[in-house]
Amino acid sequence: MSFLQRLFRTRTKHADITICGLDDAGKTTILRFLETGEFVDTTPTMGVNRETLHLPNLQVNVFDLAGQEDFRNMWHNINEKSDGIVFVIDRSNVMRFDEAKEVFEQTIHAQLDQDLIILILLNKSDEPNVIEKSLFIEEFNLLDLPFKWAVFETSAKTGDGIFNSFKWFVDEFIG
Amino acid sequence: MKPLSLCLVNMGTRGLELVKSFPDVIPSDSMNQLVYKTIPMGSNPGDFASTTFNNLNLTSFIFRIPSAENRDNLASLVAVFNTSNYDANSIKQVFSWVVAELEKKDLLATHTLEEILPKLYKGFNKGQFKIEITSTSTIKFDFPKQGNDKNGNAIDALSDDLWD
Repeated sequence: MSFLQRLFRTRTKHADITICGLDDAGKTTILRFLETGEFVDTTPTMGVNRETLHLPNLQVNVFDLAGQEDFRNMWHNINEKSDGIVFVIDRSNVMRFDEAKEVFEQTIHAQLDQDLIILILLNKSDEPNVIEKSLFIEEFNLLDLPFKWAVFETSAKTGDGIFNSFKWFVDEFIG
Repeated sequence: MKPLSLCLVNMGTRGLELVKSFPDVIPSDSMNQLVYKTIPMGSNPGDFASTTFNNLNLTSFIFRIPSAENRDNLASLVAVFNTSNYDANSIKQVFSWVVAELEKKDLLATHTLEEILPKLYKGFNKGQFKIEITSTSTIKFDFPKQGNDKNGNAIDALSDDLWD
């Protein structure tokens, strides 16, 4: 093995991340966009999808979790072993904001690792009548979060914001 | 090949749920377990599953139900037996064929599957079925005989010939 190969190998980090959020928020569609670079129609996730993304200097194991109520009990088992959490919110579905907030708070409060990185995606930005980012930050009390976090506006249909948001996430892991 | 019951399961707002079983003979305790065994964790459309529990044996076909307004849903057609002595491959062929035929005719919908489930069940018992889905669409199927090596070819040929 050459020096460069050994150097590259030692610099490759591994990270486990989970993608959470209510059902139909767009979690799997975002993951598919990351993999293929285009919008892919999906069906509801049955429990969990596990994918591995091979990025320069970082291998990311992604656990894409089903958002239906019956599956949320298993989230914390996977989340507590994660280095980072991606929480996806359908910003066009005002009717489910309270439910999303409750689930978000439960997810955050169950975390033990203070070094956890949290990426929040306001997805479906291509839809009309979406919640404003500043209002969302206020409503979800993000300024009080004891973790490193960022909010990005995304659309898994058009791809807007997807790569930028994950670039931030990956940069945080690589340091 | 007489199943105890045929079931249709899909993903609801809380999780997997039974849409319909025919005949409705499976105890509710077993049914609660059954729905989650028909679409195992990590399953995707096109997958098959077979398992045994509570002295019941089942084979399911997992597929996508298209939707024009919302996203497509995940569902399964399930044959439940009280014996392990059945031909799971024939079940797979029949279910995948029915779903493919409905999809080809743009008729793959939960309510259509609910409607044809009793006729499908009777067809399993008779070894053939003929189902009128609409006034202009009928599907007709003869089950391959067990041990017939040409099952696959026979089914391919039927899909071309049996639309009325």
